[in-house]
Amino acid sequence: MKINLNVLKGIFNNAILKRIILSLISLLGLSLIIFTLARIMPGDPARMALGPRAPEEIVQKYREMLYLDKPLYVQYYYWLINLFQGKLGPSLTSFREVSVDIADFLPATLELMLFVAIIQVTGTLILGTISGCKPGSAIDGALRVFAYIGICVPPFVWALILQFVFSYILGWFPATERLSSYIRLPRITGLVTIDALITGNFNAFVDALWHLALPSLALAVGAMAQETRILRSAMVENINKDYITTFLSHGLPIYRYVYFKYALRPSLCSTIPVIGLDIASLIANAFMVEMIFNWPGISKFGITAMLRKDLNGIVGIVLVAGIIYIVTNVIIDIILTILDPRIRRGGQQ
Amino acid sequence: MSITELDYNLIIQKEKEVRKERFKRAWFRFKKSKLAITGLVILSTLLIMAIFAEYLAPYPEHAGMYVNFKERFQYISTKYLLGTDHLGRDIFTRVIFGFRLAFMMIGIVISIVMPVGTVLGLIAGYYKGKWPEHIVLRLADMFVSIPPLILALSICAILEPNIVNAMIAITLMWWPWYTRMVYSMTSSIRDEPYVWAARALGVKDRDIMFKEILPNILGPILTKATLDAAWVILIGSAISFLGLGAQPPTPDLGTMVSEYMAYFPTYWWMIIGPALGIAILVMAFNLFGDGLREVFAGD
Amino acid sequence: MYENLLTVKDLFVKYKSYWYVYHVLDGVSINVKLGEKVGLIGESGAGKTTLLKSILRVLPPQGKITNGEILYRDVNLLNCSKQQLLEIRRRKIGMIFQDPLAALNPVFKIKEQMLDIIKYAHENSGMNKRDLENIALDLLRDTLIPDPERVLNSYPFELSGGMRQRVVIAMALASARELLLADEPTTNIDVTIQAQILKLIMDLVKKKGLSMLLVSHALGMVRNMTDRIYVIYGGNIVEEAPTSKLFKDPLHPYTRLLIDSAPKILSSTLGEGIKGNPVDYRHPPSGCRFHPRCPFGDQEICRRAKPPLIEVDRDRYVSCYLYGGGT
Repeated sequence: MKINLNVLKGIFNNAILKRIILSLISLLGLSLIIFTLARIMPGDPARMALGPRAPEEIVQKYREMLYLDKPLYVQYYYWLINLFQGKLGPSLTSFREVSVDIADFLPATLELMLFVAIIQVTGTLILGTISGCKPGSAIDGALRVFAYIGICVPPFVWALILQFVFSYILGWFPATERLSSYIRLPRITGLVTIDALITGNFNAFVDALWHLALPSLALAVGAMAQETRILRSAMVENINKDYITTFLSHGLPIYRYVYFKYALRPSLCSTIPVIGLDIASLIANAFMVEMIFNWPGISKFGITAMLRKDLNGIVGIVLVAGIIYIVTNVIIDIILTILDPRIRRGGQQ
Repeated sequence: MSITELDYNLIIQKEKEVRKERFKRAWFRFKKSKLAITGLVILSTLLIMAIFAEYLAPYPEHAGMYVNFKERFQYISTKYLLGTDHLGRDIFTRVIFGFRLAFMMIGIVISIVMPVGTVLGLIAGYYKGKWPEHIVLRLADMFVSIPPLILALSICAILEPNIVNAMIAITLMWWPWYTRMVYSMTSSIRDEPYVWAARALGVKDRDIMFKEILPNILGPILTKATLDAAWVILIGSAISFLGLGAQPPTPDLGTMVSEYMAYFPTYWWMIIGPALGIAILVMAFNLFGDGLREVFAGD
Repeated sequence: MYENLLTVKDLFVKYKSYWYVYHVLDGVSINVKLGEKVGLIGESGAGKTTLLKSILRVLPPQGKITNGEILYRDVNLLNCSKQQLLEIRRRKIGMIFQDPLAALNPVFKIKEQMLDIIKYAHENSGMNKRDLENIALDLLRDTLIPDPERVLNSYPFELSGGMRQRVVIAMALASARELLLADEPTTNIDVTIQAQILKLIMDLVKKKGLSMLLVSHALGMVRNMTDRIYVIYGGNIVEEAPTSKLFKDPLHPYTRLLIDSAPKILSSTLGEGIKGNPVDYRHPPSGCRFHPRCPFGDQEICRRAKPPLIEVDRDRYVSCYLYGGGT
């Protein structure tokens, strides 16, 4: 499948660019709201961060550092200036710059998201197509039950179950952390698997994958359940369509061509938006699962920030999460446009 | 009476008849739909358990502040159906009270979001192209630009972490999705004949929105509310699980999971109670919502 | 015996849905001889499309062939090997579909769909992509498409209805070397283009020496294009005759009503139509399936058993007790 320049031009000329800009503006507006709310709430963040025993002068110094004594618009002004420099202000929990903190922790979450996305997409594709090609079979029935359970059980419960069964009872996978403690790995990108590959440390690579297995599975299972269901029903619907009969009547190989190519592609058009939504929500679901597996990602930073009312931290997390969400949504939209020419060329669906 | 008024009354009459027909058919389909009935049955059971928690729970006093170190960490038995927790409280009782908390939360949140969201959505959809639409939509878009859970968490973080604030956070997080759906349905209906017949006759906008458009979109609204309720429970329990919602000793299902997780895996059975509780509750709403969708969709 | 290209004998087909079983084809027997053009007429829902789909065994999953034989030359399509079936689909029989928009996959370019079909029609010939493209272009030119290059690179929704049907015909020609099955080929096309498409089909059939089985409810079209006609009602063949004789002198009551109901240019009255409702395949009428609607159908014998197909004249067969067959 060739993707030529015309296609790309078509994509960016239309609503996607507008969408991106609008979303960014909305995000900015939202951060303003949160910022304001955070500053208005009663309670003295500086005092809370430093503890009741800290001497008053130090607390005052912190207040000045955060411009807490200045009026609201001044605070916002300084915050915006910081933003354009790529900084988000000092954190009250780690006393470092928030963006540095986030940059420290973000790759772990991103890596997790990446693996979950891979597992999710491959799993859904395989299970969904098989189930759709043979509706009413045993696999199909089992899948539908599984799908229902998957939707109803929250990701953190899946995480607990998986941890319990596969780590404590069976001992097949480690329960926590990203790497076993005996592995030494320099931090290049922050993505442990990539770093291991770059430095040629195969042991570390395998070890990282081994640690990634359970958390990724926990996050993927719930989403896969619903997506498989959708893909399956789309496949069933499409296989009964007339154009499949056309291809069958011309004697094309049934599975390789008719099903996996000509029935799958239209079915994907209705599944990909759902997959996209689930992947975009990963950043949020990761919050829950990271706690259980003690994964050093932004949820750890985020939750601590929230519990300790670290204002800059909270606003920083909201912004970063929002940007990731928007970016993921845009990527999914682009993929969808490539897959379904009807969107591109304005035909009816 | 002028001719146009006669026509208008005829149209309204026809609409009423159609609506009654739809109702009758919907009720019939409802009775036939296994999903809907199952969901409704489970939901009602849970609801009754929640309402009469004091009478149905074996140890109602365990739901609040209660400590009995002698009976800590009991395994599942006939005395303690789901075992006891780290403070000696009966988990089964706490799960029942957890249902009550969950229903209360859903009830309050829905009773705010549904009216407000519906009204806003109607206004935005009806006044398409004019300023109400822009304002409402931009406002909703702002809240939609970040993943819902994170929004809810931040709001909880800014306010004190407790259950009331968790409800506020969920309300704020939920309303834009609801409004958007109502908006899209309204804006597709507003060009139907009976709407512009009413407009042409000078019927007040407010009446049009509530007496013409609203009854026609009630079905999908209810379905979405039910399915969303499941989602809200999930998010609510996630918030409590992360420590930003109900605090101990409140018997909230999510809080319980996080509390009991500390004793995982040694006393592994403790988690079964609240986790199963959440799953069953969510499943009941999902079943019922799917059933409703079948009922209203086969029109 | 190669004189009969296609022989369908006593075919029973039913559709199974969740609650009901639809007994659609009730013992249908037809044949197409080499070089013949055969028509199959009947109203919507009579089982025409089901019959065509059964021949190529492309019934939907709910459709099941419960009895009968389908012989292509001397191969029984119902129990031949997978390879033989594919072989026949790729190189012997081709089918034209009713709704060209539905028959083409909307998310793939025409080129991709045609190339795949041609590739398998010419399997093992060792052609490369360029050759396949040329064949595709030739086929499109055969169907009188003015700008084959552009059409190849388009998506189905970008083409007009007539153009799409030409593409479907071109695709059918790729795999139809001997027999063409046409299912209502012009029903979904603008009236102004119907004549063109029909002439195109006739020309191509003549040029390539194909045999044809044409299915339709448009009597005028079938009359012009076929040598012999079967009339089907409610899943049964009720009459078989050479075309001209059928229209000049229809025997079966249903055929007579059908021909009478069609508006004719030279008369000023419309026909009366046929009373009653189409067959409910879940509970088909006992005996002759037409008897509830037949002006002569109130006989005991009509209700009791299905009338056998009797040879009334040379090459003319009817299934009706009016012409005998009752014991």
